[in-house]
Amino acid sequence: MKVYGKYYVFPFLYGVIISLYGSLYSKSTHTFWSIALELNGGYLEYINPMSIGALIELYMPFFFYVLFFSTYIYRHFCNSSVYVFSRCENRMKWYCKETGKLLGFTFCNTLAIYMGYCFTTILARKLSFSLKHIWIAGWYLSLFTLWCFVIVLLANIVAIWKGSVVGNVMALSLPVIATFSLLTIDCKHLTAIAWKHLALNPCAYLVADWYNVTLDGEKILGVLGPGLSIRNGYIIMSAYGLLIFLIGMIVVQRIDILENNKER
Amino acid sequence: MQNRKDELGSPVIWGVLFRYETGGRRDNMLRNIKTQINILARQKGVNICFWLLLLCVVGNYLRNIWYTRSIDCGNFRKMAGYSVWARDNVFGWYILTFFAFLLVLPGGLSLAKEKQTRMEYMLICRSGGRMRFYVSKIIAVFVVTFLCFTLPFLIELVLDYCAFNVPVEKNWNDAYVTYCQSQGVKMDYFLNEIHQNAPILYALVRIGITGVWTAALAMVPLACSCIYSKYYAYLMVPAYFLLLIFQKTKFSVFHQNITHNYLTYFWWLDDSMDEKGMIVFSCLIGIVALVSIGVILIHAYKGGEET
Repeated sequence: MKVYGKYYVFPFLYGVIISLYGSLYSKSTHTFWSIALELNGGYLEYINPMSIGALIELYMPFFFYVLFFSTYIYRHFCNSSVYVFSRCENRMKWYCKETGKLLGFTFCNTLAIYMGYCFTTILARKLSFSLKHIWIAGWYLSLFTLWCFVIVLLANIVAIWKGSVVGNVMALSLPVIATFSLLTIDCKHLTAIAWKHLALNPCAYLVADWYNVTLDGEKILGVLGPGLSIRNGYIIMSAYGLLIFLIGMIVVQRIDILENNKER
Repeated sequence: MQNRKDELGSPVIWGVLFRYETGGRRDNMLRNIKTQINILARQKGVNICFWLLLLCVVGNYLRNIWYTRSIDCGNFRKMAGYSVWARDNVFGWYILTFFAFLLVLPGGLSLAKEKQTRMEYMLICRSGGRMRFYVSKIIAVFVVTFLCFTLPFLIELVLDYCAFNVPVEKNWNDAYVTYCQSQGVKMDYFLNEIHQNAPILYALVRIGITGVWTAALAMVPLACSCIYSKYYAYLMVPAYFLLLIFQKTKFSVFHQNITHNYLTYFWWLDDSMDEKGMIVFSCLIGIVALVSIGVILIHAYKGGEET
């Protein structure tokens, strides 16, 4: 953590800059809930090319994180191939440990963005604390952590397998393609196929307004008729994460970096 | 003989400008710049940036063709309204979303790569000094970025001219102004007069301004690559933050409130921006570019090692 602490300056500053407009120049107060909305897709009623562009803009701090950490396991794998694997045969144990650390770093990144926003809001004395809304902050942190973890793990696994450039390109282009594929869905008249497409797309779960949320009997979120389920969001993200984790196990077991150097 | 002719065949003005620097060989500096431009033009980053922009242009053109296939040509917008940079154009939005990435590709990466491969030292020796190398690098990056961000849009202008330049009646302008007034649309956007009378000239001027702005902003990653060149991803961060600050904050300069985000200034035909704001924004970009150039020149003068 001491070595990687400098990487969290960027997400924290991002949170601060993003919050300047909302905190310092706006007269309204913020809750944990409105901050989480500000940092994700927020109120996205229609899917059109412009709203997709706005959604991708929100991915940018996570994309930077992916660029910074896309070679985290890969670099350690290169070192371990020389120093660790020759003495310790159990690669799985090593891989699980590295993946766990990466998950922790990813959580810290998401937390740093959120903290950056909260920092300015607290300084401007515009944060209204409410325990009712704190679970929304938890939802934002956990779901975005899982999503970012899936991407960054994919980047690392592909980097071990095919080289770091391919890993980065693949990891950054897949979420963009998944987001653009949302363009085919008509939010107003959801057909069964469109609904399946929406429910299986991990990027759809990043838009808060597509959930149906009721607080104190009042509907505070939800523009889609049926609305996405938060539980399904966790399941989908975890399923993708588990799939990539298992593929990573096979890749780490089979690839020998000394024989297959892709960076030459 | 041919080589000798090439050496002396440079424009006189350049020879006069750089005579004090080069002593006997008048066109030494010009040759440095030409070499740098040649190196830059062959770089993968420049090609990726150019082709991505061209892809956006072609995509936008096909999209315009698709949307206008069933409407009467009398209802065509003015030509500038079909550009990638036209207000609320989706391709323009995508370009501005990934603007930090695009800015780094032509200039920032080249110097970082030269530093990593130690080619920088060979080029400094060939250029005749660190200062000359860095000055020629600044000029080359400016020129290449300018060309990267103008050529695709000039191609678009030609395409749009072929497809959408419908001759209009003489009183069309008056009718358009009356319509805008009735709809409550303001007609005081930047270069409004030129757009009404000569849309092609308007498009050319705006393409030129966009090219100069991006070329000036490309100095930021170049300055960063002077100081740090280990990981390319870090070079994007300052440019991204700068654009984010332009986009997300309100500030006041010389009693002029900057209340728009920078996207507004890149878009054409936007009635929410006026000439004064445009000039202030240009000054801001100019200051950023001058500070970046200052950093590069200080680095060249001190001859410090990068981290």
